[in-house]
Amino acid sequence: MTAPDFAIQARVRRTLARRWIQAEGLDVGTTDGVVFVKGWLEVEPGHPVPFDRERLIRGIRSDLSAIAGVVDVVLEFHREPGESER
Amino acid sequence: MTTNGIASAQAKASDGPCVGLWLDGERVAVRALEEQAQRYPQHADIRFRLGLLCLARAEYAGAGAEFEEALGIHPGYRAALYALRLTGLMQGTVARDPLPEAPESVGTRDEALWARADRAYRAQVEGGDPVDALFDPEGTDPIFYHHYAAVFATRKGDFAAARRHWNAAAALSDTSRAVLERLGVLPWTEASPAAGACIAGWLWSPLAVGLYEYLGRIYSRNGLIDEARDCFVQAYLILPREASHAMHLADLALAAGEEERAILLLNRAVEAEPTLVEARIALGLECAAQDRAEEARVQFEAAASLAPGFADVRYNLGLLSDGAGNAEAAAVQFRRALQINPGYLPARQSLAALFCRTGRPEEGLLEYERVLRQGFQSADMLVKMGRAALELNRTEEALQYLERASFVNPEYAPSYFYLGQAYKAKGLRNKARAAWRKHLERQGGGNTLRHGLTKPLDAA
Repeated sequence: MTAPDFAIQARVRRTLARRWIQAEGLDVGTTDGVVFVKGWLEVEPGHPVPFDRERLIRGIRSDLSAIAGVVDVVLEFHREPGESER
Repeated sequence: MTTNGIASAQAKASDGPCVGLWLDGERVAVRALEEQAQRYPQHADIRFRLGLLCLARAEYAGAGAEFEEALGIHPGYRAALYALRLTGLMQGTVARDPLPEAPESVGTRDEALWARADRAYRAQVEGGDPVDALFDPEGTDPIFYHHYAAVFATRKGDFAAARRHWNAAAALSDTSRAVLERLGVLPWTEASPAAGACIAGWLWSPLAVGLYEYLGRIYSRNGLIDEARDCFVQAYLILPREASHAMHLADLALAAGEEERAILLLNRAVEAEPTLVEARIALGLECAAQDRAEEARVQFEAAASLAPGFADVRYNLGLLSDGAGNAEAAAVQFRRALQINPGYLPARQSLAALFCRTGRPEEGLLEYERVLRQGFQSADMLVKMGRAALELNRTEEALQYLERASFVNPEYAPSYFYLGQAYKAKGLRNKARAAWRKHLERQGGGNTLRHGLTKPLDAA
């Protein structure tokens, strides 16, 4: 049985927090198992390793895809105002 | 001096000398805050926190400079005003100017405690009795009073009074008792005065609670759970808030994979402070993550009534209703989220999907069009739009969405299945076959099952 969207959504929040991602400035949603995260990618201060944006995005995608019931992950983080990245 | 003296207190409580430890967490914090200060030069709170770090290390000149900087950015920053006064008091200087009156909108329960601590430090400098200055005849925050009274008594060498106040705090709060037992202060033994003396060396100001919590989060996120717990213990003692403490411990439990304990602690936080919205939301999310839908709903309902302006709470209530099969209730919650924040994308998208799933393709398409206008698209969303358009016999429109879906994510198998259907509807059998072939090449895993697809080539 696939996980309901509300459970996926809560687990996505938890996963992002574990990755030190600041929830403020992000839209996070789950629809029929498709997770999307859109907005400004900021990590909380005090991160143990230097901020490597590309590596972090790959890590987020991998973590979110591993959540039970997730069928697709759509990440859309702004790089600079007016410019977006998939 | 260090900001973290827990290990010292425990060592002293056993037999060793009171050894100050220089912890990496502080260095990490300083580096992170300095980076942030460069990135966000107009954020006064970063300067404030840097100042507290200096103050905790008795670097008074640096602390004063940071608080001045914070006040230069934001002259009405009350906490920085108090911190600047505290910096002077800790050097034996009493500020000549009285503290400006707080506007009514700014006065908080916390500020009342800052003022009490301010009076106590001032009395200490002026040769008065800081414990008397701490006392609130109305009896508000008695645990705060006993913690600080014990510390000021310890600083004066009056260990009998310190013992009396620590015991009084323990009698009022199980959390205080547990924390003081952990630190070796209670039950009172011969080693207790020395353990208490180490504790008295911390930065005893309710202003510093955010600093200790910040250090705790740094340790926690670096996997140093014991060090994190120590910081949260410090935060609790200097500003005894049961709910916040339980929430921090819940975070630590989750970091250690103890889900059941996390729920227990979050429930404790809610019991300690039923009006604390953050605790309700945290418990709701944790219950949801553990598939405990009914408990999650209760917490989100409570959060929604406490904070009607939180779109995210409404969104989660919508997901819970949807999960329970109550599409109408879900739509109501998604709409409420959108009333609060018309640009709230998750609610718009879930509402659109709900319409499409419950036989209202036209309304679904309208909502999805709004999502597109907000600059967001995904293959899944475009496929849903294509399906809705197909249901409405708008084949050309469906083709546009589905072709765009296959462009956005060429590996997303369902795009090709419905693309095949759209081609078939237009009589383009070869194109339909080619699309379905692509679908079969890509399908596998959960996508196909989730979308209820069957063998498409048979259908041709």
